[in-house]
Amino acid sequence: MSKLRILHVDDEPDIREVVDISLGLDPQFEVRACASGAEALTAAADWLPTLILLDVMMPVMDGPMTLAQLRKNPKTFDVPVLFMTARAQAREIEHYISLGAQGVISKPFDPMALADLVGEHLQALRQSNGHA
Amino acid sequence: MQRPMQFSISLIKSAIVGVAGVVNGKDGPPPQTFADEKFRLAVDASPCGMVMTDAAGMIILANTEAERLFGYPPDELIGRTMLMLVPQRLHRDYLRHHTMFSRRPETNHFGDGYKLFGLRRDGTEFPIEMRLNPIAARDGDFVLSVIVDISERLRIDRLKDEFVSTVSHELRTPLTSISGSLGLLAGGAAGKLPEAALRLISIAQNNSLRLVRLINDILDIEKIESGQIIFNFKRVDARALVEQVIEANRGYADGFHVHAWLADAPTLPAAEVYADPDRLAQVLTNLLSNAIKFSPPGGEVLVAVEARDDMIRIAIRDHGPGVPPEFKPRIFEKFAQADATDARQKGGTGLGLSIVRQIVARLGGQVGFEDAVGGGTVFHVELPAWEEGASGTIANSPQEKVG
Repeated sequence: MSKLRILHVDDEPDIREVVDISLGLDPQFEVRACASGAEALTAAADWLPTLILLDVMMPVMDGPMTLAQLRKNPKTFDVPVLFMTARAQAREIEHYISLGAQGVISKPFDPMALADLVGEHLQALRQSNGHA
Repeated sequence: MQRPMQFSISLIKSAIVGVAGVVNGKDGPPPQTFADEKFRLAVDASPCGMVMTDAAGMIILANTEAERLFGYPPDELIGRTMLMLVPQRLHRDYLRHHTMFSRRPETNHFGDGYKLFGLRRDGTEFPIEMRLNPIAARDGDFVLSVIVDISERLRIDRLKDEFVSTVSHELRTPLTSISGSLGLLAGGAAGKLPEAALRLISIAQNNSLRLVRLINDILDIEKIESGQIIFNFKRVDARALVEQVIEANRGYADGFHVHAWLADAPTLPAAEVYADPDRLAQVLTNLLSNAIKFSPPGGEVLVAVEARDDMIRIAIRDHGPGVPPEFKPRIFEKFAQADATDARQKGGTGLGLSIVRQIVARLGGQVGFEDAVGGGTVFHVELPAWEEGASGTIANSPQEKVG
């Protein structure tokens, strides 16, 4: 069975490392990391991930800008995106959803539960798409 | 962030009649003494722009500061319409407010969320704050507009917002890495660790999470105090919200071996409030988590919701040691802790109850507490009950920033 491809985008190398180890605890995931929005656009189009975990506050091209560019590309327009942010109150989550994200994972996150959380989001997405 | 414009109207009729009589020359000195020396000097000395208009909106007086603000030479404003000081795109708003003001000059304020700009002679605009004062003189009604240029205040507000946002992000980012790494170590992602190492990692992890809470609380209180938070008022089922909050805090309660539950029977009549559900949930979460962490292991926290006239009262009762008498007067103050060891023992920030009080006040309610019979404390929040026809958003500022 092929692995689920997770593209993680964050300008902080330490957070990339923590997420890599956290998701690596679940063998169903294959993780790639990008350090910027621009890098993510290229990687997403080439690798076609199952899901993108996208930091909100990044220099040059922030999360919402990156998401907008992903949605414009025919190769990546339908790749699900979860924002990872410290600002995850109900109305902020609504705002991210309105931008076209499929959900939000709040920071700081529980690293031992991150893989389960991502799995739950993917399951919910599959159900909403009628692939349950 | 731009602070919204507020029109504040003060009635100064009786106090100003004498002055207005001088200004307009009725039953007082002849018209040429309009420039009565003391009055003119006083008006000209004002650091605020002052423009007086007649009932038709024509300018009959403008002080030096008003001329400077709008870039006009002395006396050029006299006899012209007030609209020349307002950008074209805002004429309709200005006239609407002016009409409302003419009809109800006793109105205390109107125009929350309204941004006002002045139009200089050279066509440039600048943000202003304006206070309208009705003047009932013997020869008619006049309006004295007191105008302040708020460009600098808005610039400082923007700098402060940027600073707070940047600092919070810069603090949270390393904390995410720290708590994430500690969580992985504690969870065994790097292999089995000795018991002593696990205890130390647990201490570090709890304290990194406490720092995150502290940053969040400081940001919250800063935003509440500066009026940046928008409250979306709507009809809220208080009982259902309480149940959600209890459920959301079940894991936290379990950690303290405390049982929290809603003491009401589900058959009780509806208890609906007019409030912002997110903010009310924040209030209840703070009160509930306090009650849980101050309860003895095996203790219980009871929450009750009841209707009292036009208010709904939510009470949270713990079986903790109670609030020391000397601490009671300052319990809602910022960084208040019953004693210096409290924060360390309980992991609090000392800001929770201050946030509660400020949010409840903005919700139009009250928060208080009393000693519970048989020990412990009851904290209670009273909020306006929902009434048919009440709805809307109280926007004290533009949408708060996210990200």
